[in-house]
Amino acid sequence: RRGPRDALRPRVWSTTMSSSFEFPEFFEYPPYFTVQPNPDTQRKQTELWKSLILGWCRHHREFTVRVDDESLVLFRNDRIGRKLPTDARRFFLDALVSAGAARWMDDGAARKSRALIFWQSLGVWVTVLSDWAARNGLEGQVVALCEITGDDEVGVPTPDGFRDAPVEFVALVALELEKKGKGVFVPSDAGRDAGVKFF
Amino acid sequence: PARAGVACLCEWSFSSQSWHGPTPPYAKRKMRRRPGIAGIQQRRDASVAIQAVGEDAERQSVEAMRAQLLKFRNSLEQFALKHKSEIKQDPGFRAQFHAMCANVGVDPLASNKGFWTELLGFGDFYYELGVQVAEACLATRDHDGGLCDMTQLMRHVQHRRGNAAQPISEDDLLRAIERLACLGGGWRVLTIGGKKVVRSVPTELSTDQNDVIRWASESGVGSITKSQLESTKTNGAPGWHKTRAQTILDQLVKSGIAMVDDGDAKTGERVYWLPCVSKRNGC
Repeated sequence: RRGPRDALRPRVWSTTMSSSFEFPEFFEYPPYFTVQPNPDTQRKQTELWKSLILGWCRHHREFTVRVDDESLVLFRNDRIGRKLPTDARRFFLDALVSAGAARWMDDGAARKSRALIFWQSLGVWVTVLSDWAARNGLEGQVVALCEITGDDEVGVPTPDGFRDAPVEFVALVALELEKKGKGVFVPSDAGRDAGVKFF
Repeated sequence: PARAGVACLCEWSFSSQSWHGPTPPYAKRKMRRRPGIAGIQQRRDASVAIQAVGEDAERQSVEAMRAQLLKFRNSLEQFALKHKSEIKQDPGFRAQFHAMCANVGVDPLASNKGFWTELLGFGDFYYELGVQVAEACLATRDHDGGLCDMTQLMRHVQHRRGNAAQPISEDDLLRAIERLACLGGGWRVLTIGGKKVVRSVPTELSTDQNDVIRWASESGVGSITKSQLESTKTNGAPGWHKTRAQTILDQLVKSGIAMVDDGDAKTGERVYWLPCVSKRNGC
């Protein structure tokens, strides 16, 4: 369980987590770290970066990507001495947003410094959440968002993939769940955290 | 309009369009060059006679050659029947077989029907390979602008064929590409800087563009900068004017053959990469 102080500590994944991520071939070719002027080449380059961002986040169960995070290995290949400049990162993340696979998480989305990545489609996330609720007999109950992410003591294990997810992410899934008529998003108010009521 | 002296001795024959005249006694000796129009006719007759003899000899040797070739062709067919499985399975052997066929004027790929294609299944094999080549080149077109290094192409095609498929050689690829070329679309195998590059688009490269690609290849890494093109310092440096250099580089980027790279911290200059001559080109 991660408390507030854990946010400052780096996350250590258990060794059973996964093998190291295999970067695709294009990651070794320097020009791919510059946004290409030729439209056909740029189109291909965008597709490659979109796939990489999604794949990397999926592998590491990473939900957010910070544009200014220089330590992010996703955007740099030290072996060839290239890293994606900030405007290029925004460019490819914008493409992901346009494809519905990401969302800017800033006030008014103007600054575009942090993006939420849907390495599974929102629809799939909703299914995972509602199936989990059904399996554990939570219909009719209000479950706090932090219970879904495992931040609070609950008698049941968290739904697959939701552990340690950012609250904004779970809120978005809850809203989508509501749109699909499978429940209601309960916003937070004094004395109570935000939650979801499952039907 | 003949001269008076000749006119009284000779007759013009309209049928043979020539002069006939009384044969003076001295003409009965061995044939020798005679002056005048009769002499011209005589020389003409002589050359026709020589030609006839030559043609006859030629006809005989051509016949002999045809008979020999037919023998070769029959032996070739026997050979192919006997070594059918080796030809199908061993790319090196197959390439040598092709060379043998070429020597006797047999083209096993000439048509989709016929002895060779039915015996060896060559038509299907090379057709399928052609499709795989075309697909591979299409897949990398947005990356290399339609110029694909032969070694890379081989890798892509083998990947498409999978491990269970018959092994192929570069020779097989070249033949498949030759057949593709008949369909149009600009298929050609170029040699740039000593390396084979497969072109799958109809755009011709200008001499300058060709040179830039070649120099990028010779650099060893498959990239080049504007400064390198302007340079006159090292041996063989082109020493181009900066406008010329920029124009050609821009053309190459526009046709998708070159990619730009602004991340070189050392020089701070834009680097142009040519995927068709880069060893590891990200594809």
